[in-house]
Amino acid sequence: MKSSCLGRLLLFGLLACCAPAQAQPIPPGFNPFLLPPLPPDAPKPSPDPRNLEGAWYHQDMMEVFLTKTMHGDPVPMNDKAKALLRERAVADKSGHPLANAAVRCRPPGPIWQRDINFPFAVLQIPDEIDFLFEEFHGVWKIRMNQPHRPSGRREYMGDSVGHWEGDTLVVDTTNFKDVFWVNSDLTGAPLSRDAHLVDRIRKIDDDGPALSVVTTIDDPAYFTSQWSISRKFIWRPDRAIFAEYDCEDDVGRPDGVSRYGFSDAPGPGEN
Amino acid sequence: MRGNPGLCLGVALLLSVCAGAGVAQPVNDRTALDGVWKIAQPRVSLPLENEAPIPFTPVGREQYERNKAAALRGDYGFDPTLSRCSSPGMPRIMLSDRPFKIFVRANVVSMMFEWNRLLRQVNMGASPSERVWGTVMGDAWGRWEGDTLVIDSRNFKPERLLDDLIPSSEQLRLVEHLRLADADTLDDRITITDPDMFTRSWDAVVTYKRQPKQAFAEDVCLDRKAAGQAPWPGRLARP
Repeated sequence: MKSSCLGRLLLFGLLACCAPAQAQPIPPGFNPFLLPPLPPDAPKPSPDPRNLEGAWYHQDMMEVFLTKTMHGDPVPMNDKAKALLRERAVADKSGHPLANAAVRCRPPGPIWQRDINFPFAVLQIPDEIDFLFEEFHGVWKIRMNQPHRPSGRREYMGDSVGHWEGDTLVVDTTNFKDVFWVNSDLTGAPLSRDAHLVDRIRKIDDDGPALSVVTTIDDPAYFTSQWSISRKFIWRPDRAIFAEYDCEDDVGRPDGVSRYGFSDAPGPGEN
Repeated sequence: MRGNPGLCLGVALLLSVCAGAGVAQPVNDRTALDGVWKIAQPRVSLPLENEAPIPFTPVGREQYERNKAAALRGDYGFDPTLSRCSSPGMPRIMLSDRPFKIFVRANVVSMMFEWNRLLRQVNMGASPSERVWGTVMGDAWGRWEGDTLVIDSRNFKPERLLDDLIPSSEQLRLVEHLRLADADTLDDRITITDPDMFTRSWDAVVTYKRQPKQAFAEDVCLDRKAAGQAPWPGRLARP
């Protein structure tokens, strides 16, 4: 059975079903993720720049083909990354795309998790900041002012430790459990288990309250140099109550992802 | 079959719009519920108050007996949590033997479970409403009655389980009263109403103990299942 838009929609979310090989060009200026303006009496975020609590949403069109850094340079992939990307593209074109973590109902890594156009909530206590996502039961835990755990304990979302530099939350993440994909695309750029990410997160005012997140990726396994991406997430208190997401109800069945036409991707550490 | 971009964009557009045990002490700060909690006595079945019998309707009794017989045969196809890691839903998630965190905020009370990273949210800023399609966790609306958090949950998916065996329907409605018995003890009195399955409402009371602050491990139920571990705490067949 070949992959279908519906299958991708069910497993992935919206953008994935508009995936590369199949998609018609999206009309310029069209953004299906644009939300209506908030009413004037909508709750406001805390005025404390170090309080990130509340619901946020990625409204910008997602970069399905992530080919440029935030500075407009080509993503500095090495030959291994290019070969892997080619393998993923061939599989996708064949109608049996490889099943990445998200398709297999596993945590897809912090970048993908933030990039998809679904809301997330931030909850803060003194020693920990949690980003809770509507999709994939996503939880990005940031332990504040602590060292990394020993590398023997790895998680899909990595091990994240944070500290404040002025009003910027700086988060250092490494020790991933699995090879994962940077961008939400069936032919996504790879990141290795030992990738090192640094996120710089701060509140900004950009026609309304927003979070700016600049992520610097350091992964010699796949890239010849460090590179960065920049994202903005708008304040959306009206999206604070999430829709239910229960991908296990489908993927946990004996025929798993194959019923949607996906091939099983290599397991942890095999890439 | 190739993806249909037009359909995708249409769907996208549609969706885009669309604390001294036993002695009750007064606790005046609502955020006192904040923290890490864990069930005091792990169990797979709902603790019925006074061990009262479950007031099944004939339909409810039949489904319950069918589930019990299947469990005794080791056939757990009737249980989407045990067979495929699907969400346990409500109120079963409240029986998890793993810790959960409560965050009390003005508009949303969040319960973040370690089990499969599940999140339960209680809407504190709106009135209950009906919708066409129910969910496993249902929709939850909360209000404060003094220091007691009252949660009204409805809009459930049919044919799910209240615990390891007890069936439920889309008529299910839950009303919970969460209250600190003392600074480190939290009681959740759950009133269960489901006219398809039960002849009257009945209560179960689950007690939790406060745990030290901790960052949860990343629990992935499907990985545990693949490794041959139980997706959900082991069951004991009910007599």
